[in-house]
Amino acid sequence: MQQVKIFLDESEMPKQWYNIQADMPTPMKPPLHPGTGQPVGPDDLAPIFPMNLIEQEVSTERWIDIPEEIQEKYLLWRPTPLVRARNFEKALGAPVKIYFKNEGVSPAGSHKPNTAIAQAYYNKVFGVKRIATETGAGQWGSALALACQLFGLECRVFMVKVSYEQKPYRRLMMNTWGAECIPSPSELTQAGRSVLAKDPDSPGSLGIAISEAVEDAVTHEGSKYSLGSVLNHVMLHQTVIGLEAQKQFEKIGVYPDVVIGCAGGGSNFAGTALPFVRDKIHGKQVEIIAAEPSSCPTMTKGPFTYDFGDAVESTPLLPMHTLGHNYMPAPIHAGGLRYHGMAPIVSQLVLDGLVTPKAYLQLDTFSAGVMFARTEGTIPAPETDHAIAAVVEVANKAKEEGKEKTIFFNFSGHGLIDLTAYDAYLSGKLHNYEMPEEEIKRALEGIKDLPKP
Amino acid sequence: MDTQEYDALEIRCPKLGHQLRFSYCRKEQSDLPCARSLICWEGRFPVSRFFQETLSDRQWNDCFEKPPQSKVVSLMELIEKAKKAGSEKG
Repeated sequence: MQQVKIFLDESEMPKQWYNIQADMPTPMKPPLHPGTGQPVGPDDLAPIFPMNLIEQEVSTERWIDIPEEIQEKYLLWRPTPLVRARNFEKALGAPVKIYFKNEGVSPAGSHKPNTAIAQAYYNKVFGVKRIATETGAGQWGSALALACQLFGLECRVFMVKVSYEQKPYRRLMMNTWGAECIPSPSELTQAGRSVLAKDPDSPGSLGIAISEAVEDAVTHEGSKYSLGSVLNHVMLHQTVIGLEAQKQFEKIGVYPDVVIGCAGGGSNFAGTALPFVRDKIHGKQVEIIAAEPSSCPTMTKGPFTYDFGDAVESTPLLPMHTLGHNYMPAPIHAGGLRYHGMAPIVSQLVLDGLVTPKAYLQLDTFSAGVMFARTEGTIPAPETDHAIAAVVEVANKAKEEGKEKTIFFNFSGHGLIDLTAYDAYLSGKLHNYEMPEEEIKRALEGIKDLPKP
Repeated sequence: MDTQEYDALEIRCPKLGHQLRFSYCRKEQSDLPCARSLICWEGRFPVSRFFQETLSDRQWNDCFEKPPQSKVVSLMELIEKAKKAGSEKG
């Protein structure tokens, strides 16, 4: 029988996280405080984060020890298996070897607890009693609820109201793990009350929920805030994924040609990819792909222009945005990385040419996810489907070119609490819009004089 | 299609992580749509044309033209707001 899973012994779990900030070709610049215009410093973040996490946020130390208390909690599900997707390979019929890291085995069902556990620990040793956060569908909220329970902290989760109503199972997970889950906007904060005063039926938004969670942390003694993506310390904690994978690949004498992760806020992508980015910086040939959602096929086909007006490269979203307007369309990074709040570290690595962002249409991602589920069994989270769509694309290209490739991707989470998304796909509710040719031509005409890369 | 028909369309929201209707996206920021609306919906229907026709130039600029803020900067603003809310509460 051929080997499918590559395990690490518990003693082989990484003892340190990897901090890419020690090796980035272009060092990260601190953002400017909107009030003072000065670089944001540790004291500015102190109202919401404990100083031990702020230190990690700004650190340029290459390796940061994982405290034993965190390692002990990680052992509940880590090290996660590296799995050879042999059935998926056969179905693709391409000259590829596909490996995935199964982060769906965590109690919360995704990679999120990797940082939730760490953040709960650091808050606990700092003397924090309660952590507040926001959540949409509840992936992050449930991970933090779990982590707080394991370290004896209170947890208050402001859940966007429309999500609170639509996702009862994630809410119940939070309650089961002892967290308070509050539909946002709520009467508990000034931010919530002012929204409700204008619109008592407000369905809420992430922006409102974040405002409530931050206010809760700032205005209550012993309370801090936590978030599940974007920030540097979150990326740091998630590197346990890629570091384990590297050890597992070493055991079988394999190094991937392509590393793929789905990218929303960037945490699971960064966790998977950053240890490999380090190798790439030191000369290793490896392609690293951040797979993002898009409903815009022309974004990957149309011409792009670049505006270096600020630190982050930006491109027009779509030619079609020039329709009917005389001014430049909204500058949005190809693939929407910057636009929808991608982690600054990941954005910078894209700018430095170390990471390639690729956007995938919704229908293609679900199609890939269903194919994966029907061959490998595990049903991926819809976010994970973006990584699988990228795998399919790379595999098909390998087939066309007749070149063998070893592909590694992060299976960031299972989709068992998200089956309504598959229901929408399987019942045909999702469809792409085919832009009429004359509209595409008109849009391209509108930007033909803009500088090309 | 008219607004009502667009409102009934469903999509997976990458911010919230579940299915949502366009009716939500259209008003996510109260009087403004979600800033991701163009990127999420353009492949489903001509959403940029829809917003060009339904938003004022100022609204379009506020929603789609302003460069997005970094997370840390937005947190700084929320901290200041929260401190003010806390001091007003006394």
